[in-house]
Amino acid sequence: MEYRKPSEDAVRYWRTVRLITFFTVGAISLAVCLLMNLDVGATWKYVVLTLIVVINLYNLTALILFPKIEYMQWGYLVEEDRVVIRHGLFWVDKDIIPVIRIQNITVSQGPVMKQYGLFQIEMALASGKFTIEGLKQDVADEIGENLKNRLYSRLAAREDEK
Amino acid sequence: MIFGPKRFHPVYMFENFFKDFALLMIALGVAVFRGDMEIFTSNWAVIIACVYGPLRRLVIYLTTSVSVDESRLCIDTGWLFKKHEEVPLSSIATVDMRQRPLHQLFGAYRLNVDNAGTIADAGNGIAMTFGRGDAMILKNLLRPDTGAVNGLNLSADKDEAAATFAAENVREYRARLSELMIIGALKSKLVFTIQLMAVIFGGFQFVQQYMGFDDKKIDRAFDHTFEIVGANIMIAVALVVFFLLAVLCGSVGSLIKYYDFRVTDDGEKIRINYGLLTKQTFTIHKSRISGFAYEQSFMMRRFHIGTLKCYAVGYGNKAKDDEAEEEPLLIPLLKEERLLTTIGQILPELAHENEPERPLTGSWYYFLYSFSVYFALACMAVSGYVTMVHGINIMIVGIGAVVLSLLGVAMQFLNTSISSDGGRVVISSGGFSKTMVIVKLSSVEWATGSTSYFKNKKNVMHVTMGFLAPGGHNEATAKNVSSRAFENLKGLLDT
Repeated sequence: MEYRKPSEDAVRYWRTVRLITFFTVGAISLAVCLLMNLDVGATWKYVVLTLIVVINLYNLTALILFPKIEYMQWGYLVEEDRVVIRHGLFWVDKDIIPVIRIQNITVSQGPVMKQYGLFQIEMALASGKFTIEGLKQDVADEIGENLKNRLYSRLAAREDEK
Repeated sequence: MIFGPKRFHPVYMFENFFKDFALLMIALGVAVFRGDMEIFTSNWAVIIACVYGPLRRLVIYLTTSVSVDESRLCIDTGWLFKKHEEVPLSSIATVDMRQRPLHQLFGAYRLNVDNAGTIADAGNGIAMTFGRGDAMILKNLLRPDTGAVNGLNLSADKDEAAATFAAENVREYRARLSELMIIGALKSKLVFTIQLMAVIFGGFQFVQQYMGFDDKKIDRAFDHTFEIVGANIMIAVALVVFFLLAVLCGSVGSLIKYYDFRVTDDGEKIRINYGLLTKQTFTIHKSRISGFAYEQSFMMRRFHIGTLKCYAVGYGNKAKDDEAEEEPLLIPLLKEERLLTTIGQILPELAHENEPERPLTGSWYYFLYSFSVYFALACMAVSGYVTMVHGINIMIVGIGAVVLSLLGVAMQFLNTSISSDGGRVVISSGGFSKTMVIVKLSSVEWATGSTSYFKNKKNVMHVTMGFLAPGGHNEATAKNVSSRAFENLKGLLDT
């Protein structure tokens, strides 16, 4: 079973998103530190400070390392009657979605994705949503069209069976 | 048009009284208590914040109209921002009627309508309030179409095997008052005990402040007791007292909520009625039932009893403006030995046993990687710190938390199992409280296998399935089972 990978630009997209998170959390941390008036010592301040340091170190690690690892794990497969999505970081999830269960398919693009010409496909089921990220427009359109056709043909086949 | 356009019953404006009028009541209460209405009238921001809720209700009441034609339910609402909502009658899955005390007083009913679009989003059902006559007409017009797709789940609709009973074969189950009290008493009490402690401590501080009790006297009394009995015994006694209070409140609450609980089964559909203050009626076509959950708290398991719930779109949903989510209760108290027979009476295709797959023997320690264990270890570290630094010996609290979490882990290992065949999927999970989810295979929508690098090497993974049920109830996970179980489920989904 050969998984298809997202576009390599997805690594840059994930890194940019994490960079934004890093700066946002960093700015909030700085504001909290200033509000806490750090020169007055109290045990709880050390606890808060440790938490802030740990969160920001995690975000920094996430910024540098995680996008590459995430890309290694990412894979998707659109088969005749189901979609398989493999994703995760240290924990890898493998989602199996029967095509017949898909209620609607959305191809979307956020502002950061736009910078890298990427799209994502969202498959909505009655009991949840699944997303394939980091796709170039032609691939996203192809998958969207493909899924739609498969869904219609499966529905028609079921109707005929009835 | 065969109904309307009609405006809601005026009770609509007051049906969420505590939510919409709370700020106004508090502000007026404070102003009256202090004898100075200027507190309320001098600040525009306060006035706007207070009257926003009631005004919003009034505007919705004045600008909303409901109409039904041969094929659609139409709801027009809004003044500056107009909204037109259309729901095809064929897509309506359930219509239920509720009566809170205020509705009963004015002879009004609240109708909740669910269709495919409201399944995944909890709290997104359509809610309408009408007088008795209009409510009955609407209920008949919107009666769930048995030929309609079940959340667009065509496969599930094909499954009509459940409708095998003759219409005259009506069965009725009526819960006894003692059973209702017992489920309230035996349900898991952890969250409720914490809520109760918060309410009692909050209430105590309020009474102390406004009744003029002397803080110092109370502190001295506490210190004195503390010195005599010690911290550990005081904590233990407090926990026992709060637990017993939680049991008592749970029993009374359950009795009020589920008073006169009745399930009627006419072979094609089941009807559920209950409620003392808020009367509720649900009608569920059997073909729309995705499955069941059998829940047992720690105490319930000692007595070999449990609560049977059923998964069906529209039952257990939270409609717009609803303050609390309903539990999809079917039988409040059911003996373990009666479980399969009862399920068989409703959906015969789900009532059989097959060999469950349990977690691999060598994978027990993966259950230790859980929030409860980390939390217990943190509790032990804090209690150790307090004991050593402040000299208050509460080490027993930390040790108790760790022992309880380890017991919970051991029970999770014993309780977890998954089995699947051509007709159904069964997942058991939980530690002190055990839940067994039995779902029709045709209602299973997706499956996820989740594993880490090391677990993968040992062929161990978490298996999660998603199925057609109201939001919040539509997933079940079997932790740390063999990857064979996932492959099996995957194979069944393909067919």
